[in-house]
Amino acid sequence: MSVFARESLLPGSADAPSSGPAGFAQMVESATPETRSSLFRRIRTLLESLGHLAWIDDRDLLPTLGSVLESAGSEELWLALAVLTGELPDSTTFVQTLRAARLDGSLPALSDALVLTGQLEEEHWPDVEVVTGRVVVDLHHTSQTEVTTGIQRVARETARRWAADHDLLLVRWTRRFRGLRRLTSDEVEWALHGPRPIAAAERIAKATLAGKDATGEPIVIEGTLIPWRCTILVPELPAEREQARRYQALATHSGSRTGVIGYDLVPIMSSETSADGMAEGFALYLAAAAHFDRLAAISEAAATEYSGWRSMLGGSARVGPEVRAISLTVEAHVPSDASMSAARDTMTIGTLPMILAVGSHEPRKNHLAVLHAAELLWREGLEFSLTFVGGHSWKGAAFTAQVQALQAAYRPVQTIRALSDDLLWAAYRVAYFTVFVSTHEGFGLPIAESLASGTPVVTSNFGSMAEIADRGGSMTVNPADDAAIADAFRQLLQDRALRHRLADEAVGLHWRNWDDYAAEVWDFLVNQG
Amino acid sequence: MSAVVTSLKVESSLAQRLKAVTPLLLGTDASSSEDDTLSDPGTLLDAAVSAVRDDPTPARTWLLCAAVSGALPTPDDVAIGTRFFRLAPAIEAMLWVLDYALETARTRVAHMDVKIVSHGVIVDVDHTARHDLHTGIQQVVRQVLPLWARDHDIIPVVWTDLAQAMRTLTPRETGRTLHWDQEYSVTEPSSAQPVLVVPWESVVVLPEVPFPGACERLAALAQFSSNAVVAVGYDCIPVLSADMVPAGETNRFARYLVVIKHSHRVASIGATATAEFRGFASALPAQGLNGPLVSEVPLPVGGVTSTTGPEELATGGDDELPLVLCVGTFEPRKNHMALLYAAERLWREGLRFELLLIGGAGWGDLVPRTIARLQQKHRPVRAITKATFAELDDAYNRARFTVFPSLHEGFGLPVAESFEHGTPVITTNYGSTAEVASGGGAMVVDPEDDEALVVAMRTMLLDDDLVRRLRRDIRARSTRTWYEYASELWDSIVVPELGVER
Repeated sequence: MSVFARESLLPGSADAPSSGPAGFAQMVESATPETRSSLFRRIRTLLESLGHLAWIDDRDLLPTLGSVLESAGSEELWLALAVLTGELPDSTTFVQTLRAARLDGSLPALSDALVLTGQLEEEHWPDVEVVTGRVVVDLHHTSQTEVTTGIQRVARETARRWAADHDLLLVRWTRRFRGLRRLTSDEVEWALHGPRPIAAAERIAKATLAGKDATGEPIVIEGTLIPWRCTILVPELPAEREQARRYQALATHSGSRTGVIGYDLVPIMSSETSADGMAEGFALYLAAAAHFDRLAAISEAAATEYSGWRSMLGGSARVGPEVRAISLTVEAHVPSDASMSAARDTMTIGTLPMILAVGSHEPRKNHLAVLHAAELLWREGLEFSLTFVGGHSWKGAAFTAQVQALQAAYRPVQTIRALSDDLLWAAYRVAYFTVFVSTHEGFGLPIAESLASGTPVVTSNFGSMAEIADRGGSMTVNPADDAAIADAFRQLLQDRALRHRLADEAVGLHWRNWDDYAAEVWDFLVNQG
Repeated sequence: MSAVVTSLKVESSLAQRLKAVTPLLLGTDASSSEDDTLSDPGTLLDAAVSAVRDDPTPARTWLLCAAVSGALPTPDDVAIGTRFFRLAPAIEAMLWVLDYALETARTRVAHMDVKIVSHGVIVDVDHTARHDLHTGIQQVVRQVLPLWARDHDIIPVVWTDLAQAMRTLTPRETGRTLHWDQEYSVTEPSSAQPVLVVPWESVVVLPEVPFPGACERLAALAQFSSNAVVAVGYDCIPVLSADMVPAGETNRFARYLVVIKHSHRVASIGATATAEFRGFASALPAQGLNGPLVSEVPLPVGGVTSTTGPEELATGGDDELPLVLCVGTFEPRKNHMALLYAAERLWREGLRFELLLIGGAGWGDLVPRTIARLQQKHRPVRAITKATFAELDDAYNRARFTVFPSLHEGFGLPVAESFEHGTPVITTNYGSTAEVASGGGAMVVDPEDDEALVVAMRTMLLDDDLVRRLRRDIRARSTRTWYEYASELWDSIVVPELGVER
């Protein structure tokens, strides 16, 4: 049999260039000078990463690579595949390459992979940087979103403290979610300290176009980073298809330790409360998380959910990550006097007690039940006003219509889309009590924020909400029972002693700070085991 | 049909429905509803609405909505209706009910009579009854339903075309469900006109995974009505291995899980499904739910029907080569690529055997492409995507052994089928396939360990004594009939819910 005959079973397409033992060399021969030098640069990077001297002649590169990879284990092959293709491989590509390598040797397998991933056709070969032994933190979304609540808030507060205490590499995904790159200094600023003022954002955008960051330093947007035998921390939710597929291969084959913060399983466990199509991306993320080492759940209830999911994985012999509950916390903020008086002016009516509900208008937050309970009490003749703070969300139309109907009947109910942090904290203090009767929550931040402001809460009698409420200052109800919500409202409105006792309890609560939370998560995901 | 006739029909249907539901809401004996005072539609509506207003629970709202419109209400319908009955004056409540009934008045549902089934057993066989497909789940339904229909009072139902309501079956649908193996008649007299079915204090059985369009109304039925929903649990693959299912599958399955989380009981078909549905239920307290009680009722594996004796070795493939058979849809989860890799390794070693892959077309071009390349190299490998029952039967009989190294499986029908042909199996060493294999006649391997698969196949190809021993082991397996399965399923999920006060 000719040495040039194609002997490779997998992978590659029928029209792939003939590889075979000498196929890689052939491929190099037929490449343009630019492609060849890019490929050689990557081979040198790979050899160096594998601990070999790479200052050898170009013509010695391939034989050297061939002999280095001859005894390669799967971690080395993952690295070779990642470096040569300039992206994090997905599981399908990796397993195919592994099988092809075992049948016909690593070089033909890798040359097929270069064809298969389309890299060989690329004109642009971004520089590849391999890092080992570092802690790498994925802040993809946090480094570019305007959102400052929920997951982004946790990711930001946590990563900022990690960055202060430890040597970190902050990364995000490249276009099309095929690889990672370092954050630029502006992105680091954004990720750790929040969205910049518009002017600054524009400045960054312009500088980025010019290839320079805000300080005038040149930036390499397309440089790709391959973490190998690192610790990868994911405080966000990587639910893009490509991202999840590549994380799955990384967690399984790259020799890196992996840790993630687990928020909830709402898209799977309560798909009726989220927009159609949410489940799929989330389940892809779960398929990746199934191969992670550790998962820090944000509450006992979230840990219950992730542990349930983990035992589901047992049906297909996957172990899943070790799950531990590390509860989120809240840091009370004392609002300015100006915000306090602004809140009183805009959110209260005379001496009427104000009930505050914070949260986006979507079915899961159960705001229609709150409106119904309020109407029952208004009809009884009780006097109070009701203020909702939160943005419009999925399926919010029924809520809006109901609010309009009540306003038309002169009920004292108002909705506010968004408030500054300071004004929101003032609203919590101005409120007579707050209500948060969601049907499913990973944590329920508005409960903690209300209690930290010394304001009692009516919340749901299960899960993470009951967990927070059990600390004190709260009344819990079955959120599916409108009458029970109304009963709790009535008691708090009529029984001043009760309301005072709960407010006192709330004031007396001790909350861990973000420093403690971040340190405990770090300890679990990075230090232990 | 003229508009006048239509509206008369709608009106008389509405009267019939109100007459059926009002005694239930009033808590009076159904037989006394022959009373003349409760025959005028206006009086009936008045009585029904005041009955719900007196005690506006979600369950009573659900029943009234279902009865007046014929369609089963959505969760939103129930929540809005319950709140409305609690707040609105009687006249507005009556108008709301009429409005609600009007929403379906332009669909066929409005013309159909409603049968309110109290303390009955309703079985949703939509997919089996409406389609001629005969894949895994339909096979289960077509085995179980005739036995249940013979031994118990059950009402098989399908969903109406717009997925608004459940109705009884047409003769053709009955044939597909209860008489699959017979030449069933589809020209029965039209006296068997389907009627809508509204269950009340009944058991609603889901032996299929209901189609997504029905899930919202089924979820409302499970959560709010007085009925108990029970289900056969096959697997949770779409949410656990989303990387291995076609696009859209996960979203559809997540809607089904909303029904399951409000169900009372799930009978899991094997070890994998048991772990998955129990795990799912154990995650539900986080949202204040207990979830279904999950009990395992394993699908049956029958005795050997093949005439080839255990000491004979199979005749092999076309060229008298030993035949290695893999049955399973061409999709990544079935792990064909590992099998093709192992086969190529063994061919290169000089082993001679034919590899035959039979399965639905599935998706992805990796497997067909690889097979084409192997064929170019004259490897004896073939794939058949549209095998007849006879071809499949023949392949099982001629195979020296079968290989089923699936990465994630709810049961693994091909393993059971191989045993029923007396043919040894190499399969996955975990979950339901391992459970079925443990009865004897199989070698198990880690499906992600290619080397283990190579070793197992090599051994099976070279060791005639081993193959004979496994063939004998298959004959010694304890077997289970469909009758045993159907009885145990009934006892496990239906009986405990019958006559329970809810």
